[in-house]
Amino acid sequence: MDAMQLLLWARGPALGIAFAIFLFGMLLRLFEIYSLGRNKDLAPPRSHSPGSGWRTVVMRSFSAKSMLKASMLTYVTGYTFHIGFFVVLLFLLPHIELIRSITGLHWPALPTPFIDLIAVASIIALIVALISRVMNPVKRFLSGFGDYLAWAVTLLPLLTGYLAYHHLLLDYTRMLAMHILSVELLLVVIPFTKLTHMATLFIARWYNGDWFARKGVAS
Amino acid sequence: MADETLLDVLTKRGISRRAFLKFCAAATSLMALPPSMASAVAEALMQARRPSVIWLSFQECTGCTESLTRSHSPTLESLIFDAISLDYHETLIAAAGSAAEAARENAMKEAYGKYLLLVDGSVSTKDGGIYSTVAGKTNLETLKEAAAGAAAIVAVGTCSSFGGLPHANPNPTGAVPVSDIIKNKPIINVPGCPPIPVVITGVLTYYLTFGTLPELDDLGRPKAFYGESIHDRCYRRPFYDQGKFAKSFDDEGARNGWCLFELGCKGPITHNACATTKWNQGTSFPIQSGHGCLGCSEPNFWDAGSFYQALSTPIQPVTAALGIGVAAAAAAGIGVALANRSTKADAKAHHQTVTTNDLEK
Amino acid sequence: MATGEESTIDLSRLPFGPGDHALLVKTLGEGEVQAQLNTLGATRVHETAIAGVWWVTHCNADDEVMVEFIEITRCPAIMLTPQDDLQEGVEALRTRLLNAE
Repeated sequence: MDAMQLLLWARGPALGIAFAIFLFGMLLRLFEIYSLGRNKDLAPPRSHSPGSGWRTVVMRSFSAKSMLKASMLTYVTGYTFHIGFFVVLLFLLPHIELIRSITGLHWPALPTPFIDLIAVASIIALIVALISRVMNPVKRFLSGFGDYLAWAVTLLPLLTGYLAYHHLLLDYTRMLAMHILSVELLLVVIPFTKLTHMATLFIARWYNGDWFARKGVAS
Repeated sequence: MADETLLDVLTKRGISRRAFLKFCAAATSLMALPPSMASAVAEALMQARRPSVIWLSFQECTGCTESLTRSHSPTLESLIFDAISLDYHETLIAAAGSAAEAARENAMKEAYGKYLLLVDGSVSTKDGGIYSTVAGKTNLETLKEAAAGAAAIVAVGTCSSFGGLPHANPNPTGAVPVSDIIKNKPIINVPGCPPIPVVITGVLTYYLTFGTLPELDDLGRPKAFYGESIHDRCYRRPFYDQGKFAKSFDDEGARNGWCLFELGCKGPITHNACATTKWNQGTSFPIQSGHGCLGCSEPNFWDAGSFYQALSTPIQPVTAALGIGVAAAAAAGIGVALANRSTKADAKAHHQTVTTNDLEK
Repeated sequence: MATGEESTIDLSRLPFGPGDHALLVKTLGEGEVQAQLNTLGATRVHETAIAGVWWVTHCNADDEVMVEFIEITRCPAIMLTPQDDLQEGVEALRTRLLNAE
């Protein structure tokens, strides 16, 4: 397939398919979680603290000091990557245009060279995280195929986006096609890997916060 | 007519040696060759023979012919066209009807195996190609006949190079490019809607001068003119790099010459010479006039999404796909939920109570 | 300068933005020499304010610009009398002198 055909397929039917699979997978997961329900708590709650669940959702984003000291590298790479990823996704003008064309929503973009810097920081954070995972014997022991797959499909959009913007590696048309295809790959892989945490983390935090409040440790 | 050299033609017109050098310098630039090659071009032109050229027009709008006849430096073009023997051009030819047909057949016979065939317009193939005929013959047939005796074929314009407008969805006539029909002859694609006039002439001059095809890219386009994208040579590139985009036509940003990405410019994926060679004697090109590039020298550009939506947007709406995803998830979700519930109920039903008494045995 | 290497820049191959061309003309300026060739239309040659940098503009019979070059040289090649013309020149002179008597 020549570069133009690939690009038109990526911008056309492939996008629909990727979104459909992503939505299907994520909603299915959510259905599964919620339909299983929770065990009835027969004991009376120890403390009265409504909203503990919701507070936990926010508070868990800030770590306990001791935790931070113990795994500084994990926290730093984690925060850098996650914040960087979302800044690049939401504040680069071409991405805003994409969102506008689908949802009608839009907001001001940040200067492209700034986003470029953030993208580089995110890529470096990912690479450092991988090295740390492989070099630490415990982490390495615990890591499986799903972990490395998730890492790869997350890195590819950032990397291909950077290469496309800077006109590196391949002819631009092909590089842009690769970038869009890598995003579509990410979308279809998310529901079947640990990347579902993008939705489930909020559910888990809420549940834990609510349960702990009943047991007397409110947030 | 044919078989004189180019230099013979020029000398007959009383052209001095300095004039010949001037001609060669201009021709070298026209072919997008570096100026240092002017002497090589002069050498080649002195030996070149005048080829016969036949121009066939199929499903086209005649824009390509118009573009060519509007090429600038008429002195240069008229020299080139005096030099070639334009034995048949469907639109420009003075004769008509059977006399014209006879002229074409004659030309083809006389120079069989050696003439250059230029084609503009796409070829209809549906139902045997009856949607486009000339003198009762389908374009498909005419092309195959003419191609048989051609030394090389130049597909002028996006229609003959890639199918162009007739080829766009839903393609009712089964339009295809020349390269889909003819597989055994060298083909140069000179796309554009229309192509820049001097690009057409430049390619012809190259063939005239050197008698061979210029270096082509993977879509059969001469690298000299189509090797770079508009984006690569766009003078507004610094604004793209800095993230300064015009939000609507003629707004503050647009007036300051900011990048037209948001307004649908397809410059990054379009290969052509518009940013350097420009149009109308180097006056301007779409982006300089404030309008985004349409991508007209690329295949399927008519089906590549709106001209006014950014390159990063989907070509077709995704709402249907989103709807299907949600609906399927709802259906499967309910199914899974029910299955889970029944498993849970089952487990509860089959629950066996065990006491320590039972275990002690 | 040491090697006497000459160079030519084809201005038609450069992506000029609006006003860039005028800026280049202004920056290079004009020097002592101006010349005009009249063949296939006018060709105007002038040395810029920078010695050794010449600006050559080839126009067609309708005085439209065909192509422009900046040449780094002691004298643009097109100005020099072609070698073959020299012999013809001798013959031409001889004929003129004969007719003058």
